[in-house]
Amino acid sequence: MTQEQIQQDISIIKKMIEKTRREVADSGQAFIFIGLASIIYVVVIMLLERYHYSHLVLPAMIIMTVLMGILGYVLIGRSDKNEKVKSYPKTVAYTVLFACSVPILLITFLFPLTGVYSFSLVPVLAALFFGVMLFSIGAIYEMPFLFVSSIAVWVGACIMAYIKGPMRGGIMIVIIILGFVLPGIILNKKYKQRSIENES
Amino acid sequence: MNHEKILQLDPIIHAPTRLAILSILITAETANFTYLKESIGVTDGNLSSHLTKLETAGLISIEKTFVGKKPQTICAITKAGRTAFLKYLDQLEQIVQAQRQDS
Repeated sequence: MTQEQIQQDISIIKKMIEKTRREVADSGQAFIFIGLASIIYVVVIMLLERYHYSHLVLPAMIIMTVLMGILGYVLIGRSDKNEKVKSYPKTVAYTVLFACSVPILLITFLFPLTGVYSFSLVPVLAALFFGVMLFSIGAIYEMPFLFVSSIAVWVGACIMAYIKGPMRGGIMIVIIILGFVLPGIILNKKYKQRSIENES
Repeated sequence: MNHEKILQLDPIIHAPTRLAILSILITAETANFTYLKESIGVTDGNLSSHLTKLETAGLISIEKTFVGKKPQTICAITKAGRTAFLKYLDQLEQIVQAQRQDS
């Protein structure tokens, strides 16, 4: 085997690994979906409380959670089917997403309904888990801006803990935008840029 | 010494197209036929024959599914394939080192 052949082998390996590594980055669609769905969630609850339909808050939360779950499952399933490459980081990221969603569900429904704490604490506790989710996904995808987003979410959770009323909902919306919608848009832009680079 | 090492190189992996396939699959969990074809820049027939060789050697697994009405071929590296690929990298490294010592 000549030096040239070895160089050729190494160059093939490097090129293919680098190309695939770029391809496997996230499109950000899951972030945008979670972000927009969560904003709708918060706005609906705020409106119900604002117009004194507090008795409808819990049924609305249950219906919206079920709808989000079904829609999320369908969208993620569809994007998985159309994906040319499936990566370990993506699998791990979705596992983290699931692992954080379970405690968020417990925090949102089980504990307040069984009287462990009041519903007013739900956004604070949920935001803490959203922060964990973002921080972990930032580490998995090597995207430091998600660390900043998670810190913003944790700061928001601290502020919400000391603020009551509609202001808390407003802060929650800011947290969702900073934590999910903006990172989703950034991820999507990077993903499209990479796709163009890979095609050329 | 170099000559011995060269003889030990796995001929199944050594072909450029098959090396490229394994390099992609070692990074990704799975990759479909279209992605492999576009990335490596080979024809359908050429890629198919290389995939079959790798599958026969037990280095990759191939699953044929349908997305809607479209057939899809999904490839993944096997445990044996991962081991063989890493061994191949080790051997390449040894050859490079031996060549450095010779020169």
